[in-house]
Amino acid sequence: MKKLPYIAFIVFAVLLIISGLRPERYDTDFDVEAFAELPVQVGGRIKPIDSVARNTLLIFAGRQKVITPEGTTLSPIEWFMDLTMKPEVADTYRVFKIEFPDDLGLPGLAQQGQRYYSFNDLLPHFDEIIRLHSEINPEPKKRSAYEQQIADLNDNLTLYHRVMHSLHPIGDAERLNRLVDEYMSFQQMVPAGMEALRKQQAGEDYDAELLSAFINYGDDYLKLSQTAYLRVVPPPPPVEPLDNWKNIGLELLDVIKGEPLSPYVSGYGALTMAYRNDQVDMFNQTVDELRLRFEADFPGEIGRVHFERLFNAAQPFYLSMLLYVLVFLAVCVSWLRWPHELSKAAFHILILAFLIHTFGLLARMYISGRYFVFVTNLYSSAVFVGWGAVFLGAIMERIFKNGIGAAMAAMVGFCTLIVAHHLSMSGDTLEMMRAVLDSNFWLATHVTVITLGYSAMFFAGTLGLIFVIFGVFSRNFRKNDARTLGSMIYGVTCFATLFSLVGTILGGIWADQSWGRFWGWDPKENGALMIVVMGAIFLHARWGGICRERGLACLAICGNIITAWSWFGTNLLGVGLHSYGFTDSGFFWMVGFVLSQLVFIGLAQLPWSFWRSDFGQDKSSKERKRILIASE
Amino acid sequence: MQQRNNFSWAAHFLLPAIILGSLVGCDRAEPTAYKIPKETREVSMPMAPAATGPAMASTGTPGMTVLPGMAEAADEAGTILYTTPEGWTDLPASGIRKAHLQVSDENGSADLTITTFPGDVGGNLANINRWRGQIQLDPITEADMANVAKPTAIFNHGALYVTLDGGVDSILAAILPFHGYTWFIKLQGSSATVFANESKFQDFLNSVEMEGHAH
Amino acid sequence: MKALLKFFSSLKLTVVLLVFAMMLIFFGTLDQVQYGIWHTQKLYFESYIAIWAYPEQAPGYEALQWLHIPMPGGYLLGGMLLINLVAAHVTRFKMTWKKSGIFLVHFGLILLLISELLTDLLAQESQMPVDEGGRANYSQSYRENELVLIDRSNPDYDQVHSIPTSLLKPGKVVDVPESDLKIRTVRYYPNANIGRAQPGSPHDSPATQGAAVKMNIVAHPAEVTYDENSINTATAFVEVIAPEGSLGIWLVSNIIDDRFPPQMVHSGDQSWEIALRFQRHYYPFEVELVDFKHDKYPGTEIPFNFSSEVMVHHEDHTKNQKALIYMNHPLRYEGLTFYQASFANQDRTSIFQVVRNPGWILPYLSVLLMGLGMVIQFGIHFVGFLNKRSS
Repeated sequence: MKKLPYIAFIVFAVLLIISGLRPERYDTDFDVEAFAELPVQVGGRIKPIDSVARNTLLIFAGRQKVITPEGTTLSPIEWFMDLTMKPEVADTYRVFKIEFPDDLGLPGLAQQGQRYYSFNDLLPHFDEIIRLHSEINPEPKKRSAYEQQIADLNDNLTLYHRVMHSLHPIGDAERLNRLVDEYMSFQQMVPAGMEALRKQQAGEDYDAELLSAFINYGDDYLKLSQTAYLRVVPPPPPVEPLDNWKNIGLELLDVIKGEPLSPYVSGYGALTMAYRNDQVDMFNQTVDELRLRFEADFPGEIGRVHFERLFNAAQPFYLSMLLYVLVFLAVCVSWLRWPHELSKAAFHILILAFLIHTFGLLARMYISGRYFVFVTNLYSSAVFVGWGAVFLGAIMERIFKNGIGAAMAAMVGFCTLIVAHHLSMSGDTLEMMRAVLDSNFWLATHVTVITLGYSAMFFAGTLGLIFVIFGVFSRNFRKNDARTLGSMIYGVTCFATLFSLVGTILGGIWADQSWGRFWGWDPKENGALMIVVMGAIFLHARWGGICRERGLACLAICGNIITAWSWFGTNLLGVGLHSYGFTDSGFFWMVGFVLSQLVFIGLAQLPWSFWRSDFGQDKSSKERKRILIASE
Repeated sequence: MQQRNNFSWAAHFLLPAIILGSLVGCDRAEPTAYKIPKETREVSMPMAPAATGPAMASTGTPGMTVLPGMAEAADEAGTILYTTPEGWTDLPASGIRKAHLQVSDENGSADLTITTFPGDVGGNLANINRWRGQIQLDPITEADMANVAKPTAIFNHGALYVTLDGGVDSILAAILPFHGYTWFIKLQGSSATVFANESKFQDFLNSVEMEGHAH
Repeated sequence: MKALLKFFSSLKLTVVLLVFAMMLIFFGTLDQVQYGIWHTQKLYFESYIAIWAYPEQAPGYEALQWLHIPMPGGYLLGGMLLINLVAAHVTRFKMTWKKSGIFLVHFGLILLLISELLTDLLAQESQMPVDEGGRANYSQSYRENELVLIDRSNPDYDQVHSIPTSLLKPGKVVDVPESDLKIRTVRYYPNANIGRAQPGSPHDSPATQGAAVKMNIVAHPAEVTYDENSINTATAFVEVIAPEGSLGIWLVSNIIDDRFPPQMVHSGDQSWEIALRFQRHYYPFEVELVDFKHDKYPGTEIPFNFSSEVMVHHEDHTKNQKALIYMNHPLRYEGLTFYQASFANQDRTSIFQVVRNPGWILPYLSVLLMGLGMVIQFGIHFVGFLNKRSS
């Protein structure tokens, strides 16, 4: 009976994990999974179509599902298949998220209660959108929120168009239905067409009809080569990871030079035709052929591509986020009842979540081919800050065994993963790094250490919040608890200051090696310095006896504000050599966060008599005694 | 005794620090004179001989054959923004032609086209002579170039303003090298129409703004 | 005296100074949006007092534009922190093993502060663009300008007479070093718009000689830009005065460069090229760019590697050197350091950042000391903590 609470929580956690890892089932006979694993090259990286589908949908809709007009829910890859192979159907799907359509200045667009709009909804407003777009500020950092919305809409529509035409030329339903035939006739036309062109240049008689048809094809494919977003045609093996793949247009143009048409192009053409004509067997067979061909040509890369698709499906960070919520719940309940069993359950689920979180980090390292590099951009810094905080919390929990470590770990882990989730909306989170930042050694050392410093500062700040909450509101908070919490805050802040200082210095050395200046007063550098200074203020205030537990807890909460500024605030500014991500809507979140922290600091300033805890009442009576003695 | 040792140690320390601190104010720059090895004056324009790329259809007539790659390069060059002068018609742009305006009056008509290519497309002299050929003028030499071409500025970048009077037809043009590309803004048509619209053409040049991936 | 020492060595002062430091860094960072990094550095971190004004772009500017916050500047704070640290060590700290960690950390910190001061005073940064296959024997500043008169009459060398533009104050007369000419500045614009005069529009150019007259160029003053990617077109109208009298007024500007024919000043049988340009530093060696590689990730414009293969030809041939300069891997040569900064002309020109900083090794030393100190200090603490828990 005693073990029941423990078992209940553990079972629930395991169920969550299993449901998360269950492979997705598609309501169709088409071999969607095989299609999802076909590799393409985009943004300098080879990835499965599944990743492109998910990232693109995230950019448009801010979520990974599409609801058709009939009411069915599509997964990203299913949507992608319609987008690329049945565009006329995909155009009716509501994928473009527009929160406040009235604000855009496009009369007639807004529909009551609708936050998602389809391509067809936006089609009549194209001219207006293009006109509005030409009027906005070209400098992204200087745009107003409205201008940024227009820019985003324009960019999204362009991306939509480009992705749509990645597997075949631009055309209407009839053309798409006859793709393979078109490719064959084009190939046969090439020698004759070149001959006609030569004759025309030389001023001789030529077949005008043939030439005009040929030039039409040429123009069409030229346009396609500029539009097609995905590069689907790999170069002939042996191939280096950084070799250029070709998009469909470029490949078709190369046919003019006399090269044979790559089987990948005709393969995708056949896929499109089969999908449109509901020829399931034909589709599955072609997909299989393509897959086998890839495997034969690139034995090394296929494994990584396959792993990436599994990773996408598993969504380990989402899973650990849910588990952190469970942990927090367990700890809170454990403070009311069944303290021993539930705190054990909480700790074990925390470890489980931490392992999944770690797996996610390591998987990203494997996919991007960078080992020991935890952080490459803002998204991965958020994931890593969470990881570091959970790690610290687990250690704290092991040492102090009072549930606070686990609760803090869960809270910070959950919050940072939510932040990371929002940061993933801009596209591929495994994007390539710019050359100056692209040094595995410095990424593994400077960036890791400084991000751990951020984790620790947030952790200390959260402990400070707990101090204030418990001190003011909970009756069970005694002097010993306050002392323990105080020493936890001190210990973590020492760690944070150490890591922030080391990380900042490593950054200085990196800068000196890169551009000859150890310290450049760049906003990001300044932010890091502010964190170090904050830590120093905390430590010196404690050592000098200037502040005691309450003051130190408030300083720790200040640390949260400073760290948030350094991590995100500096990105909002428009100067300097650093610039990991564009986070303008984050401004309001940051201000909100700062205000929330200030509220807690304000709360802590309440006179001791208002503190309901034993600790507070104790302080209050001591204060009254001192006043009495002094007045005598 | 401990204190005094520390004191002298500190004094040895502080003194240089104070001296350094006082150096802070002294940042004066002085005129200097020095010798350097002989320099040859090269016209170091930000363009290099455009050896790559397909040979251009050299006549430059409006029906220029666009070969693959040119249009793509044109797309990469970025976009150009401008204000259409009053009374001019704005026609659709296409392919490598980034803009096409037209103006007509009782004497005839003139077309303004904006095109862009990577590199310097053979150099200013070659382009000016090509245009001269289009309006039945003989080619000129480098030495004469200053007579028809004057430096100017477009969008705060150095450019070349070209005036070619061909009797029947004339050309007013600007050549703007910009971040590895060369932009040609050319007004060509009946001489009377062209020169009657010269100030509007100059207004047009002043209104030009560039935006592009390079920036 | 004792009270003074007590004040300067107090921990409370440290905390107060640190809080001011945080304020300074925060407001300085905010102002970087307006003034750019370099100028903000001068205003906030290389000064004694800094004043922050409520920015125009911020909401509520009309209500809050009176808000100006003064605060101690970088030099004042740095100096005070230094004094505070030294005073604290003098009065309170005893050199023991237990405190050795803290000693090392603080000493490392002092060294870091001093090295930053030295960098401010002594470091010189400039840029050197080199074409592939070409050579360069000078680098140029991208902020400082100079007025030069170049005498190319001698067949073996060119004589350069240079006057930094900070000395070109309107109305003032400056001697041209090693010649009998004088320069009187008529007008000086730190940034200007240069163009051909519009026919019919009034222009009051004081120029009487040179390109301004021949090509009808006029200059209109413009606001200085702090944008990191733009240059300021420094422009001046200068009068050249020979012993026999004024030779005329020339318009010079750093945009009137090698693309234009040189502007000549003639006096008797001597002649000079006159120009205003970014300040050049000539070196006794030439840097030849053998090959420049710019690799991008396929299908993107994102660079993953720039590298320049260079050959340095020194006047003294024993100092010739071959090197590969790429990201995070500079060339240290003759007290200068060459970094791969940028490129132009579609990968045919490589641009190096040239830094002269005699104190460049100090930060590394300080880092070493601080690292050692921290390891010792926190090591001692951690061991103590563990001992307490096990007992």
